[in-house]
Amino acid sequence: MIRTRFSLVLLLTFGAAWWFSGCNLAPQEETPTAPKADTIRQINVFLETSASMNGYLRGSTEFKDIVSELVTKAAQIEPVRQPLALYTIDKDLKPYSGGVNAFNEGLATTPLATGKSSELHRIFEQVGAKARNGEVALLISDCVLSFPDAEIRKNPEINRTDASSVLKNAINQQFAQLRKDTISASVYAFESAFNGTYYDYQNKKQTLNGEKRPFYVWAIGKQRVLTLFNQQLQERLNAKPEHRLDFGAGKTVTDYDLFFTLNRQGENWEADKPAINNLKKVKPDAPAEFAIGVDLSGLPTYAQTEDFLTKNLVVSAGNARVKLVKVEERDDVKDTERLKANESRMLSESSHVLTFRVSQLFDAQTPVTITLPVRYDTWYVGQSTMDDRTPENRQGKTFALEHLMNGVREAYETGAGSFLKLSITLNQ
Amino acid sequence: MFTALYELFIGKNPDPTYRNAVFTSVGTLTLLIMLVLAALFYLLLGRWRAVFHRTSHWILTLVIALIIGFSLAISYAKDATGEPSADSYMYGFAGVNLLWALIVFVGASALFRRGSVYARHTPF
Repeated sequence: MIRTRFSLVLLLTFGAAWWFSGCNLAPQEETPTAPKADTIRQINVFLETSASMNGYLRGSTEFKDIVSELVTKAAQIEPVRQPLALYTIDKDLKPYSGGVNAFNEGLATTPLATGKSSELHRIFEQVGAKARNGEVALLISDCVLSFPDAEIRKNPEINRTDASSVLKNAINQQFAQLRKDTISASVYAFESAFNGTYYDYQNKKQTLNGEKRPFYVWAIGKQRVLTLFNQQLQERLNAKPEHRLDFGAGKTVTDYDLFFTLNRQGENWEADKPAINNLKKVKPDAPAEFAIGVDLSGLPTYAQTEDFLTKNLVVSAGNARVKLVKVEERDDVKDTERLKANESRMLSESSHVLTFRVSQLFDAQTPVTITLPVRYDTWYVGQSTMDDRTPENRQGKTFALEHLMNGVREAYETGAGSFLKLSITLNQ
Repeated sequence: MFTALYELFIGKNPDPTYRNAVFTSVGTLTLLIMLVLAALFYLLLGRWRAVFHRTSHWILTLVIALIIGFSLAISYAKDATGEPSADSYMYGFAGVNLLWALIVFVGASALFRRGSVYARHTPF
């Protein structure tokens, strides 16, 4: 009887021990659902076919080579759920049936640019509608800001006098709506010979024979699919753009992970996000170094580069000396096999690792702010003219490009002034 | 309190998970489990019938308590840190928790034995 009872108790004991070792006792963090693999629903290509585009399509031009390659390579991007859709657009949107090969043949053989003068903001409105729900819209255009023909006939100077107000604001309105819907945009600038009729800002015709003219490719879509699209397009495309600009609609990144062994220097400090404690012994000759992991995959591609981050990250640390020492992309981080499970998880959730050095600390508590201000390239200012009547003035330039780009830039600059804003407290 | 207790013996771990999610929970849980085990021995079985009241029974219960204290610490730390297997720090932590379980169980025994009928003098 006693032996049976003893066996029962022993059984219960080992049962309890086994239960403890098998159970998930620690409160589990909410398991993040696996991020949906970035898949583009559909790529929609729009070729502007207003009469002003005709010169790009006549004779031997880089435009035909580039557009043909662009469409071909865009059709190879994956994963994409639905086949590439082609459209021509002037005043109205027209689906182009026949597929990529027929389109490429059409560029060489069929007079495509026969449409009426088009207003860019209306084009962007229609193109933007095809950039939602995981779709990417690609617009090929000369990007000349212009009032309708009738308005120019009434006032030949209207394009010059009102581009910076009416036209810019119309563009701004379109892109503000896109930004509101968290849709981002990238623009690629190319150059091509132009053979045909050029319409100056007064709508007067001039015949150009092989004069180099810029043209632009806009890629518009949700940030994640646009990043995927841009990456793959750049990898595949032989024709490299003269310039590129990205307008991001992503939110300011405020979250980060604080590593406790990765890139660590200094013995005693303790990581306790959002603080680092016990930094008493920090001196210029005995600094502490800590690393944080951030997910910057939602930022425009250029803002994710090591060079951009190194140049533009601003560290404000009041009465302490804190300096950015290293920017690493996740895949470049070394000795990852030594990391503990928690740190490996943090690293897998980050796109970049930023390492900072604390070399002097005077106050008991020092708040540190790390910001990455929104910065846009301004190459377009030098590529803009407000008088395109003479070859000298328009060589390599686009009429009112500055106002078009400023309209877009202002739409994206509203609100978030920083790509990244992190707060961390250093405690002695 | 628990963080200071554990870190006094095993030192600090760079992973803040121990301080933020492990030490206090394991210390509190161990305290409660030991109190429940002592209450079971003295106030439930010790008042019910004279079947489980001797010193040998008390030692058996203590062994159960210590096994629970040790394995609780290991499994909790493994879950919280996500580590697939226990490391030396976890074993150290489990050892300290075993000690903590011992202190609580002995203390609770001294406290609860007065409420028992059959185990009033077990083991003291």
